[in-house]
Amino acid sequence: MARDPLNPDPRILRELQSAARQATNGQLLRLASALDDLPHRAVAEGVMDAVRPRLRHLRPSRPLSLSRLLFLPLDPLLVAPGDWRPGRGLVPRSAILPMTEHLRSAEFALVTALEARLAGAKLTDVVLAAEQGALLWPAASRALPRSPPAGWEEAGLPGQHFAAVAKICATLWRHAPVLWPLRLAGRDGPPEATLRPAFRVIAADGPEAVELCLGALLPYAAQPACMVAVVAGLSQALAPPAERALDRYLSGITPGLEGADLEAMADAAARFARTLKDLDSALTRDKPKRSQQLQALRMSAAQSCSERLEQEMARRLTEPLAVLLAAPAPADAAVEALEQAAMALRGIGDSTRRLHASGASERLFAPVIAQITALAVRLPASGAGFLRADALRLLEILAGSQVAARLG
Amino acid sequence: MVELLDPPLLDAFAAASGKPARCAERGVAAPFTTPLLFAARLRLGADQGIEVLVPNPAGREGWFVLPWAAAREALQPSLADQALIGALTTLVADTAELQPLQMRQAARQAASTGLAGRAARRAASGTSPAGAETMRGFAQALNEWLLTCPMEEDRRRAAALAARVASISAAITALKAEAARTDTAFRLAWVLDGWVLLALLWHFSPAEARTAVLRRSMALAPPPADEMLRWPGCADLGRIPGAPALAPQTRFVAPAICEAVLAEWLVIH
Repeated sequence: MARDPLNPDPRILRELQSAARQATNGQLLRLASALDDLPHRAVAEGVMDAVRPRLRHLRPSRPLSLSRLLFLPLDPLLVAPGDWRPGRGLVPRSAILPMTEHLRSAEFALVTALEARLAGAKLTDVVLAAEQGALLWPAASRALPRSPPAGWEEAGLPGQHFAAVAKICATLWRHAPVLWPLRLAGRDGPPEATLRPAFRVIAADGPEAVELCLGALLPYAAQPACMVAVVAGLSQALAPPAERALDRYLSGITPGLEGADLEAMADAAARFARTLKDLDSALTRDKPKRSQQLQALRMSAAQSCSERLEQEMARRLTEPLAVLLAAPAPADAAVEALEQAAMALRGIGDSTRRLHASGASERLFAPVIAQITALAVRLPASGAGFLRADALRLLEILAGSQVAARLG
Repeated sequence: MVELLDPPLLDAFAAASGKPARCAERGVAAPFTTPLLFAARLRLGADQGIEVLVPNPAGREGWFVLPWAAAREALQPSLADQALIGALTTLVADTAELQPLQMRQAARQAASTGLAGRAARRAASGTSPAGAETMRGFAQALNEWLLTCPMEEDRRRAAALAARVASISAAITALKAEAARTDTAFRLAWVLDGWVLLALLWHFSPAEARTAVLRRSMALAPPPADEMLRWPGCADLGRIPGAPALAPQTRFVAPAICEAVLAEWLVIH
């Protein structure tokens, strides 16, 4: 007998998750693409839950489907069904299918026209998402049923929690047309000129709406504490929900450095170090817990960076350097690949220092810097081999231009 | 990628005029590989020493003028940038003037040392497409990007920059129509100066850095000298309307992007 697509066999799901964890980056991208073509999301979401940290770094090209567009504003609040608990302002991924199908029947004409416009579109098409979302999200908010839609309990969701989940969805869908551009602009810091009027409107919906909407934006903000300060500064009434949103954000963030290749990890570590620097401004005497949370995050991220440096220093730097030195005419591409690896390692080292000023990571660089310094003075200035300029560039990357200039 | 600079670092230095009378006063855009120095302008000071003009790091409109020695101390230029200044110093000692042609010669000499990377060393001896084509491509890329930009203020910035780039293209066409003049090449070089660097910066920047690059490009856009505005087809090369205040940024892109720009810039004429 065929199984209910809403409830995949747990044993098979575990096997698929295990296979996904072991897949190479290329295999994982192909798997993500194949799962996107499945008509039902339950299995796909279940498998993806096991590899989401890696997928975040790989950034596969995902289709902009109806359900994905619908739940785009709720992204940071979506959790695997097993991690969902009522009362925490989160939405289980298993709610996506029944709520999407309800909308399809409630707003058939709108959904049909919209799906035609989304055909072939990708999640990266942010303008199309904004245009179509502006039609879809408010309509979805209005069309929410008063009782659980068909398929709700079959998805393993208790009926008594529908109202709370629906309220979260309704709030975010109602304000999503304004939140979406704020979210996209978040990586350049809080766009204050747009943030203020948006939250003045959201505030009319009550403090809970402010907390939810801010919570949905903070993971995308380069300076989350700054964003909270802007919203909290709008009025005395907005300060408590803004502070609660920040506390909730702090309790949920992780360095997210796992599963990335070296270059992606360097970028992610730099971003995380900058975010923590911003969050330092949210530390006050009456919030001692925040200080502990930030310190724990610093230690955890610095530890991940140090371990990665130890693992990769030889494999990506000293061993390839030895190969290039032995080659009579190393290819330009090989020299450039070595420089790229050196930049990524240096970036991770810099982030480690910013996260936790112990100097431990610098000790990992010291031997290779000494080796290259010795090399730079005896390598030839011209010819087909690895040259003095190549060594000086490596030294500049790893130790800085002032150190390299002393030999130059 | 964006890191902030301590604004007081440069506050002690003089401000450059936003409306230079002559090209020599405006200075020539340099293909530096240090992000904070990228597309900074160079000119000869009263003592014939090289001066660096950098956008106001406090985010306000305008440029600061620093002697090169002070810039080297404050901004820690790369070895490649130091080699560029070394080559330029030798060249201008002979001619006592600093023009786009000398900048290109010095950049080729510096790139041939390999200190800007192997791609730049390869490029030091090549040539390819004309700058006018690069400008058309830049304007088109900006106009396409602004359709995907979520923030209204950045769409306005992109539109203003695209309009200015289009006016450069129009000026190039008008100047080329006067090809019989002996100073046409001189004028073309000045009109295009700095803009190819910005076009290539846009081209090589990753999608997620485009907003920061746009804002930085607005600050880096070289102002036309008054004498340029009197050249045929150049009357529209005025100040970009609505040039924004900018957050001070030391690293709006990675040095590797600046090096990629340099390698491509070397072969564009």
